[in-house]
Amino acid sequence: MPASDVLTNLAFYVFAILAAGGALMVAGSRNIVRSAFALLAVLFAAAALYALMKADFIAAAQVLIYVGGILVLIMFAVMLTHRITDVHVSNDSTPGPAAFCACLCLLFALVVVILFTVKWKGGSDEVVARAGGDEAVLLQYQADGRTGLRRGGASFEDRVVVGVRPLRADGVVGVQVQVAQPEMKDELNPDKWDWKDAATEAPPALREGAWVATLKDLKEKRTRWRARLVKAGGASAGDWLSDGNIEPDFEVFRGVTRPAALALAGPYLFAFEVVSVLLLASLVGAAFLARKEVKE
Amino acid sequence: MIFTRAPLENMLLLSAFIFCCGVYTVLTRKNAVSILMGVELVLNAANINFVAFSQYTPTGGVHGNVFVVFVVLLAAAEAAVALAIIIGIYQNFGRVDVDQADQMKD
Repeated sequence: MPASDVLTNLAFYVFAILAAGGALMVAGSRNIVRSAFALLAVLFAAAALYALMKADFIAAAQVLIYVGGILVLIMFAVMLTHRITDVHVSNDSTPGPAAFCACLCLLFALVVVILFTVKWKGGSDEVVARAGGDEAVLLQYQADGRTGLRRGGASFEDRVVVGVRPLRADGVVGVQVQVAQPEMKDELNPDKWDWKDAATEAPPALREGAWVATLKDLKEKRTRWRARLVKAGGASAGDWLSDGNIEPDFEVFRGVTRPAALALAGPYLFAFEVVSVLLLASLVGAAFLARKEVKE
Repeated sequence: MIFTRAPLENMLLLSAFIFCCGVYTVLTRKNAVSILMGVELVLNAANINFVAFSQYTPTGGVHGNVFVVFVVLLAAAEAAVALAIIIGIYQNFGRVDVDQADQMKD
Protein backbone atom coordinates (compact mmCIF):
# COMPACT_ATOMS: atom_id res chain seq x y z
CA MET A 1 0.00 0.00 0.00
CA PRO A 2 1.57 3.36 -0.99
CA ALA A 3 2.27 5.96 1.66
CA SER A 4 -0.46 8.31 0.46
CA ASP A 5 -3.01 5.52 0.87
CA VAL A 6 -1.82 4.87 4.41
CA LEU A 7 -2.22 8.55 5.22
CA THR A 8 -5.67 8.66 3.63
CA ASN A 9 -6.80 5.61 5.58
CA LEU A 10 -5.40 7.01 8.81
CA ALA A 11 -7.11 10.37 8.30
CA PHE A 12 -10.42 8.70 7.48
CA TYR A 13 -10.40 6.42 10.50
CA VAL A 14 -9.34 9.17 12.91
CA PHE A 15 -12.08 11.53 11.78
CA ALA A 16 -14.65 8.77 11.37
CA ILE A 17 -14.07 7.62 14.94
CA LEU A 18 -14.27 11.25 16.10
CA ALA A 19 -17.55 11.76 14.25
CA ALA A 20 -19.08 8.48 15.38
CA GLY A 21 -18.03 8.97 18.99
CA GLY A 22 -19.34 12.51 18.97
CA ALA A 23 -22.65 11.36 17.52
CA LEU A 24 -22.91 8.69 20.22
CA MET A 25 -22.23 11.31 22.88
CA VAL A 26 -24.84 13.68 21.42
CA ALA A 27 -27.33 10.83 21.57
CA GLY A 28 -26.28 9.52 24.96
CA SER A 29 -25.03 12.28 27.21
CA ARG A 30 -27.35 13.47 29.94
CA ASN A 31 -25.69 16.88 30.10
CA ILE A 32 -26.89 19.15 27.33
CA VAL A 33 -23.73 21.27 27.33
CA ARG A 34 -21.69 18.11 26.79
CA SER A 35 -24.04 17.18 23.98
CA ALA A 36 -23.45 20.56 22.35
CA PHE A 37 -19.67 20.19 22.53
CA ALA A 38 -19.90 16.65 21.18
CA LEU A 39 -21.88 18.11 18.28
CA LEU A 40 -18.94 20.47 17.74
CA ALA A 41 -16.67 17.43 17.38
CA VAL A 42 -19.06 15.81 14.90
CA LEU A 43 -19.26 18.95 12.76
CA PHE A 44 -15.49 19.45 12.69
CA ALA A 45 -14.92 15.79 11.83
CA ALA A 46 -17.49 16.07 9.03
CA ALA A 47 -15.62 19.11 7.68
CA ALA A 48 -12.40 17.11 7.71
CA LEU A 49 -14.11 14.26 5.87
CA TYR A 50 -15.34 16.71 3.21
CA ALA A 51 -11.76 17.89 2.77
CA LEU A 52 -10.72 14.26 2.49
CA MET A 53 -13.29 13.83 -0.28
CA LYS A 54 -11.74 16.83 -2.09
CA ALA A 55 -14.79 18.99 -1.45
CA ASP A 56 -12.72 21.82 -0.03
CA PHE A 57 -15.34 24.51 -0.49
CA ILE A 58 -17.91 22.42 1.36
CA ALA A 59 -15.44 21.87 4.17
CA ALA A 60 -14.88 25.61 4.55
CA ALA A 61 -18.61 26.32 4.41
CA GLN A 62 -19.21 23.61 7.01
CA VAL A 63 -16.80 25.23 9.43
CA LEU A 64 -18.11 28.73 8.77
CA ILE A 65 -21.85 28.05 8.83
CA TYR A 66 -22.29 25.00 11.03
CA VAL A 67 -19.55 25.52 13.57
CA GLY A 68 -19.51 29.29 13.47
CA GLY A 69 -23.22 29.89 13.09
CA ILE A 70 -25.53 27.03 13.96
CA LEU A 71 -23.54 25.67 16.87
CA VAL A 72 -23.18 29.12 18.42
CA LEU A 73 -26.94 29.56 18.03
CA ILE A 74 -27.51 26.26 19.79
CA MET A 75 -25.18 27.23 22.62
CA PHE A 76 -27.04 30.52 22.92
CA ALA A 77 -30.32 28.63 23.14
CA VAL A 78 -28.93 26.35 25.83
CA MET A 79 -27.70 29.29 27.85
CA LEU A 80 -30.80 31.42 27.34
CA THR A 81 -33.28 28.71 28.26
CA HIS A 82 -31.54 27.55 31.42
CA ARG A 83 -30.17 29.33 34.41
CA ILE A 84 -26.42 29.42 34.02
CA THR A 85 -26.00 28.71 37.70
CA ASP A 86 -27.55 25.31 37.17
CA VAL A 87 -24.61 22.98 37.14
CA HIS A 88 -26.58 20.07 35.76
CA VAL A 89 -28.71 21.40 32.97
CA SER A 90 -31.54 18.99 32.47
CA ASN A 91 -31.33 16.89 29.36
CA ASP A 92 -33.75 14.17 30.34
CA SER A 93 -34.54 11.52 27.86
CA THR A 94 -37.66 9.50 27.97
CA PRO A 95 -36.94 5.87 28.79
CA GLY A 96 -36.74 4.60 25.26
CA PRO A 97 -35.91 0.92 24.87
CA ALA A 98 -38.40 0.88 22.02
CA ALA A 99 -36.68 3.84 20.35
CA PHE A 100 -33.30 2.18 20.93
CA CYS A 101 -34.47 -1.05 19.33
CA ALA A 102 -36.00 0.87 16.44
CA CYS A 103 -32.75 2.73 15.79
CA LEU A 104 -30.74 -0.50 16.01
CA CYS A 105 -33.07 -2.10 13.46
CA LEU A 106 -32.73 0.98 11.23
CA LEU A 107 -28.93 0.84 11.46
CA PHE A 108 -28.93 -2.89 10.73
CA ALA A 109 -31.17 -2.41 7.71
CA LEU A 110 -28.97 0.42 6.39
CA VAL A 111 -25.80 -1.65 6.83
CA VAL A 112 -27.36 -4.61 5.04
CA VAL A 113 -28.45 -2.39 2.16
CA ILE A 114 -25.07 -0.66 1.91
CA LEU A 115 -22.92 -3.77 2.13
CA PHE A 116 -24.93 -6.54 0.55
CA THR A 117 -27.84 -5.55 -1.62
CA VAL A 118 -26.62 -2.69 -3.78
CA LYS A 119 -23.60 -2.97 -6.04
CA TRP A 120 -22.53 0.66 -5.85
CA LYS A 121 -19.92 0.61 -8.57
CA GLY A 122 -22.36 -1.05 -10.92
CA GLY A 123 -19.69 -1.79 -13.50
CA SER A 124 -19.35 1.91 -14.03
CA ASP A 125 -15.68 1.76 -14.81
CA GLU A 126 -16.14 -0.85 -17.48
CA VAL A 127 -18.82 0.07 -19.94
CA VAL A 128 -19.90 -1.85 -22.97
CA ALA A 129 -20.49 0.58 -25.80
CA ARG A 130 -21.97 -0.18 -29.18
CA ALA A 131 -21.50 2.23 -32.04
CA GLY A 132 -21.32 1.91 -35.79
CA GLY A 133 -21.24 -1.85 -35.84
CA ASP A 134 -18.39 -1.99 -33.33
CA GLU A 135 -18.68 -3.20 -29.84
CA ALA A 136 -16.11 -2.25 -27.30
CA VAL A 137 -15.56 -2.33 -23.60
CA LEU A 138 -14.41 1.04 -22.35
CA LEU A 139 -12.16 0.96 -19.36
CA GLN A 140 -10.75 3.73 -17.30
CA TYR A 141 -7.73 3.20 -15.19
CA GLN A 142 -5.91 5.40 -12.79
CA ALA A 143 -2.19 5.55 -13.04
CA ASP A 144 -0.91 4.56 -9.67
CA GLY A 145 2.73 5.53 -9.98
CA ARG A 146 3.88 2.41 -8.22
CA THR A 147 2.08 -0.62 -9.40
CA GLY A 148 1.29 0.88 -12.75
CA LEU A 149 -2.43 0.71 -13.09
CA ARG A 150 -5.43 0.59 -10.88
CA ARG A 151 -9.11 0.80 -11.45
CA GLY A 152 -10.32 4.27 -10.68
CA GLY A 153 -13.52 6.02 -9.84
CA ALA A 154 -14.32 9.57 -10.70
CA SER A 155 -11.31 11.30 -9.27
CA PHE A 156 -7.80 10.92 -10.51
CA GLU A 157 -4.61 12.28 -9.15
CA ASP A 158 -2.34 11.86 -12.09
CA ARG A 159 -2.92 10.34 -15.44
CA VAL A 160 -5.89 8.58 -16.88
CA VAL A 161 -5.52 5.50 -18.96
CA VAL A 162 -8.29 4.75 -21.38
CA GLY A 163 -8.53 1.25 -22.64
CA VAL A 164 -10.74 0.16 -25.49
CA ARG A 165 -11.17 -3.55 -25.85
CA PRO A 166 -13.15 -4.53 -28.93
CA LEU A 167 -15.48 -7.44 -28.54
CA ARG A 168 -15.00 -8.38 -32.17
CA ALA A 169 -11.45 -7.51 -33.16
CA ASP A 170 -11.71 -7.93 -36.92
CA GLY A 171 -9.62 -5.26 -38.60
CA VAL A 172 -9.14 -3.06 -35.55
CA VAL A 173 -5.60 -1.79 -35.21
CA GLY A 174 -5.76 0.90 -32.54
CA VAL A 175 -7.62 3.53 -30.68
CA GLN A 176 -7.94 7.28 -31.09
CA VAL A 177 -8.66 9.27 -27.97
CA GLN A 178 -9.86 12.85 -27.69
CA VAL A 179 -10.38 15.00 -24.62
CA ALA A 180 -12.36 18.15 -23.95
CA GLN A 181 -12.98 20.52 -21.09
CA PRO A 182 -16.60 21.59 -21.54
CA GLU A 183 -17.91 24.91 -20.38
CA MET A 184 -20.80 24.70 -17.96
CA LYS A 185 -23.31 26.20 -20.39
CA ASP A 186 -22.52 23.57 -23.00
CA GLU A 187 -22.28 20.76 -20.52
CA LEU A 188 -25.13 18.73 -21.91
CA ASN A 189 -24.19 19.16 -25.56
CA PRO A 190 -21.02 17.22 -26.42
CA ASP A 191 -21.18 18.38 -30.04
CA LYS A 192 -20.21 21.89 -29.01
CA TRP A 193 -17.25 20.86 -26.94
CA ASP A 194 -13.74 21.66 -28.08
CA TRP A 195 -12.45 18.18 -28.73
CA LYS A 196 -8.74 17.78 -29.16
CA ASP A 197 -6.63 14.76 -29.82
CA ALA A 198 -5.17 13.59 -26.58
CA ALA A 199 -1.47 13.29 -26.20
CA THR A 200 -1.17 9.58 -25.85
CA GLU A 201 1.74 7.55 -24.79
CA ALA A 202 2.86 4.18 -25.85
CA PRO A 203 0.40 1.74 -24.38
CA PRO A 204 1.50 -0.54 -21.61
CA ALA A 205 0.43 -4.09 -21.98
CA LEU A 206 -2.79 -4.11 -20.04
CA ARG A 207 -4.59 -7.24 -20.98
CA GLU A 208 -4.93 -9.28 -24.05
CA GLY A 209 -6.74 -7.55 -26.87
CA ALA A 210 -6.83 -4.16 -25.20
CA TRP A 211 -5.73 -0.96 -26.84
CA VAL A 212 -4.66 1.54 -24.29
CA ALA A 213 -3.97 5.25 -24.44
CA THR A 214 -2.49 7.20 -21.58
CA LEU A 215 -3.81 10.72 -21.39
CA LYS A 216 -1.32 13.36 -20.38
CA ASP A 217 -1.94 17.06 -19.89
CA LEU A 218 -5.07 16.71 -17.80
CA LYS A 219 -4.42 19.97 -16.01
CA GLU A 220 -7.91 21.38 -16.10
CA LYS A 221 -10.48 20.77 -13.42
CA ARG A 222 -12.85 18.73 -15.50
CA THR A 223 -11.81 16.68 -18.43
CA ARG A 224 -13.95 14.33 -20.44
CA TRP A 225 -12.72 11.84 -22.93
CA ARG A 226 -14.05 9.88 -25.82
CA ALA A 227 -12.45 7.14 -27.81
CA ARG A 228 -12.97 5.26 -31.00
CA LEU A 229 -11.49 2.27 -32.64
CA VAL A 230 -9.28 2.74 -35.66
CA LYS A 231 -9.45 0.15 -38.40
CA ALA A 232 -6.68 -0.97 -40.71
CA GLY A 233 -5.64 1.45 -43.43
CA GLY A 234 -5.93 4.51 -41.21
CA ALA A 235 -9.67 4.86 -41.64
CA SER A 236 -11.46 5.87 -38.53
CA ALA A 237 -13.97 3.28 -37.58
CA GLY A 238 -17.46 4.12 -36.66
CA ASP A 239 -18.69 6.55 -34.07
CA TRP A 240 -17.19 7.81 -30.89
CA LEU A 241 -17.48 5.34 -28.09
CA SER A 242 -18.12 7.56 -25.19
CA ASP A 243 -20.29 10.60 -25.14
CA GLY A 244 -23.86 10.30 -26.21
CA ASN A 245 -23.67 6.58 -26.67
CA ILE A 246 -23.05 5.53 -23.12
CA GLU A 247 -24.31 7.08 -20.01
CA PRO A 248 -21.41 7.89 -17.72
CA ASP A 249 -18.93 10.58 -18.56
CA PHE A 250 -15.76 10.25 -16.67
CA GLU A 251 -14.47 13.43 -15.22
CA VAL A 252 -11.20 14.45 -13.74
CA PHE A 253 -11.53 16.47 -10.61
CA ARG A 254 -8.80 18.52 -9.09
CA GLY A 255 -10.80 20.29 -6.44
CA VAL A 256 -14.44 21.02 -6.88
CA THR A 257 -14.72 24.69 -5.99
CA ARG A 258 -14.70 26.14 -9.49
CA PRO A 259 -17.17 23.65 -10.99
CA ALA A 260 -19.45 24.11 -7.98
CA ALA A 261 -19.32 27.88 -8.37
CA LEU A 262 -20.07 27.56 -12.08
CA ALA A 263 -23.00 25.26 -11.33
CA LEU A 264 -24.36 27.70 -8.75
CA ALA A 265 -24.11 30.55 -11.25
CA GLY A 266 -25.54 28.44 -14.07
CA PRO A 267 -28.08 25.62 -13.77
CA TYR A 268 -28.77 26.29 -10.10
CA LEU A 269 -29.08 30.06 -10.33
CA PHE A 270 -32.84 30.10 -9.72
CA ALA A 271 -32.59 27.81 -6.70
CA PHE A 272 -29.77 29.99 -5.37
CA GLU A 273 -31.93 33.11 -5.59
CA VAL A 274 -34.90 31.32 -3.98
CA VAL A 275 -32.65 30.30 -1.09
CA SER A 276 -31.59 33.91 -0.61
CA VAL A 277 -35.25 34.95 -0.36
CA LEU A 278 -35.84 32.11 2.12
CA LEU A 279 -32.92 33.24 4.26
CA LEU A 280 -34.30 36.77 4.31
CA ALA A 281 -37.76 35.50 5.27
CA SER A 282 -36.38 33.31 8.04
CA LEU A 283 -34.31 36.22 9.34
CA VAL A 284 -37.38 38.42 9.57
CA GLY A 285 -39.44 35.56 11.01
CA ALA A 286 -36.88 34.69 13.67
CA ALA A 287 -36.61 38.31 14.72
CA PHE A 288 -40.41 38.54 14.91
CA LEU A 289 -40.72 35.36 16.98
CA ALA A 290 -37.97 36.26 19.40
CA ARG A 291 -39.00 39.88 19.97
CA LYS A 292 -39.87 41.05 23.43
CA GLU A 293 -43.58 41.24 24.13
CA VAL A 294 -44.69 44.77 24.86
CA LYS A 295 -47.10 44.61 27.78
CA GLU A 296 -49.89 47.15 27.48
CA MET B 1 -13.03 -2.71 5.30
CA ILE B 2 -10.03 -0.66 4.24
CA PHE B 3 -11.06 2.86 3.33
CA THR B 4 -9.12 3.27 0.09
CA ARG B 5 -10.39 -0.07 -1.21
CA ALA B 6 -14.04 0.86 -0.79
CA PRO B 7 -14.31 4.56 0.04
CA LEU B 8 -17.97 4.92 -0.88
CA GLU B 9 -19.08 2.05 1.34
CA ASN B 10 -17.03 3.33 4.28
CA MET B 11 -18.51 6.80 4.00
CA LEU B 12 -22.03 5.38 3.70
CA LEU B 13 -21.56 3.22 6.79
CA LEU B 14 -20.29 6.19 8.80
CA SER B 15 -23.16 8.38 7.72
CA ALA B 16 -25.67 5.59 8.45
CA PHE B 17 -24.32 5.43 12.00
CA ILE B 18 -24.53 9.21 12.44
CA PHE B 19 -28.04 9.17 10.98
CA CYS B 20 -29.20 6.54 13.47
CA CYS B 21 -27.69 8.50 16.36
CA GLY B 22 -29.61 11.56 15.16
CA VAL B 23 -32.87 9.64 14.88
CA TYR B 24 -32.39 8.21 18.37
CA THR B 25 -31.76 11.69 19.74
CA VAL B 26 -34.89 13.05 18.07
CA LEU B 27 -36.99 10.14 19.33
CA THR B 28 -35.93 10.09 22.96
CA ARG B 29 -35.11 13.62 24.05
CA LYS B 30 -37.58 15.90 25.77
CA ASN B 31 -35.48 19.05 25.54
CA ALA B 32 -36.25 20.93 22.33
CA VAL B 33 -32.63 22.06 21.91
CA SER B 34 -31.48 18.43 22.06
CA ILE B 35 -34.03 17.50 19.42
CA LEU B 36 -32.58 20.26 17.24
CA MET B 37 -29.12 18.74 17.73
CA GLY B 38 -30.50 15.39 16.55
CA VAL B 39 -31.86 17.04 13.43
CA GLU B 40 -28.45 18.56 12.76
CA LEU B 41 -26.90 15.09 13.03
CA VAL B 42 -29.37 13.72 10.49
CA LEU B 43 -28.67 16.58 8.09
CA ASN B 44 -24.92 16.07 8.43
CA ALA B 45 -25.28 12.37 7.67
CA ALA B 46 -27.21 13.28 4.52
CA ASN B 47 -24.51 15.78 3.55
CA ILE B 48 -21.76 13.19 3.92
CA ASN B 49 -23.76 10.91 1.63
CA PHE B 50 -24.18 13.66 -0.95
CA VAL B 51 -20.48 14.46 -1.07
CA ALA B 52 -19.51 10.77 -1.08
CA PHE B 53 -21.77 9.98 -4.02
CA SER B 54 -20.58 13.11 -5.79
CA GLN B 55 -16.96 12.16 -5.36
CA TYR B 56 -16.88 8.40 -5.65
CA THR B 57 -19.29 7.67 -8.49
CA PRO B 58 -18.54 8.50 -12.12
CA THR B 59 -21.93 10.09 -12.70
CA GLY B 60 -21.89 12.18 -9.55
CA GLY B 61 -20.21 15.21 -11.01
CA VAL B 62 -20.51 18.42 -9.07
CA HIS B 63 -24.21 18.25 -8.30
CA GLY B 64 -23.88 16.55 -4.93
CA ASN B 65 -21.62 19.37 -3.75
CA VAL B 66 -24.12 21.99 -4.87
CA PHE B 67 -26.89 20.19 -3.03
CA VAL B 68 -24.82 20.21 0.14
CA VAL B 69 -24.55 24.00 -0.14
CA PHE B 70 -28.34 24.23 -0.24
CA VAL B 71 -28.79 21.79 2.64
CA VAL B 72 -26.38 23.79 4.80
CA LEU B 73 -28.21 27.02 4.01
CA LEU B 74 -31.60 25.48 4.78
CA ALA B 75 -30.21 24.03 8.03
CA ALA B 76 -29.05 27.51 9.02
CA ALA B 77 -32.49 29.01 8.33
CA GLU B 78 -34.19 26.12 10.14
CA ALA B 79 -31.93 26.49 13.16
CA ALA B 80 -32.60 30.23 13.41
CA VAL B 81 -36.38 29.83 13.25
CA ALA B 82 -36.42 26.80 15.57
CA LEU B 83 -34.35 28.59 18.18
CA ALA B 84 -36.63 31.63 18.02
CA ILE B 85 -39.58 29.28 18.62
CA ILE B 86 -37.71 27.60 21.49
CA ILE B 87 -37.09 30.95 23.14
CA GLY B 88 -40.78 31.78 22.67
CA ILE B 89 -41.74 28.50 24.34
CA TYR B 90 -39.33 29.25 27.18
CA GLN B 91 -40.87 32.67 27.73
CA ASN B 92 -44.35 31.15 27.92
CA PHE B 93 -43.77 27.88 29.77
CA GLY B 94 -40.51 28.43 31.64
CA ARG B 95 -39.07 25.18 30.30
CA VAL B 96 -38.31 23.85 26.86
CA ASP B 97 -39.53 20.28 27.28
CA VAL B 98 -41.57 19.45 24.23
CA ASP B 99 -44.08 17.25 26.09
CA GLN B 100 -45.04 20.19 28.26
CA ALA B 101 -45.69 22.56 25.40
CA ASP B 102 -48.97 20.94 24.42
CA GLN B 103 -51.13 24.02 24.02
CA MET B 104 -51.33 26.33 21.04
CA LYS B 105 -52.24 29.18 23.40
CA ASP B 106 -51.30 29.63 27.02
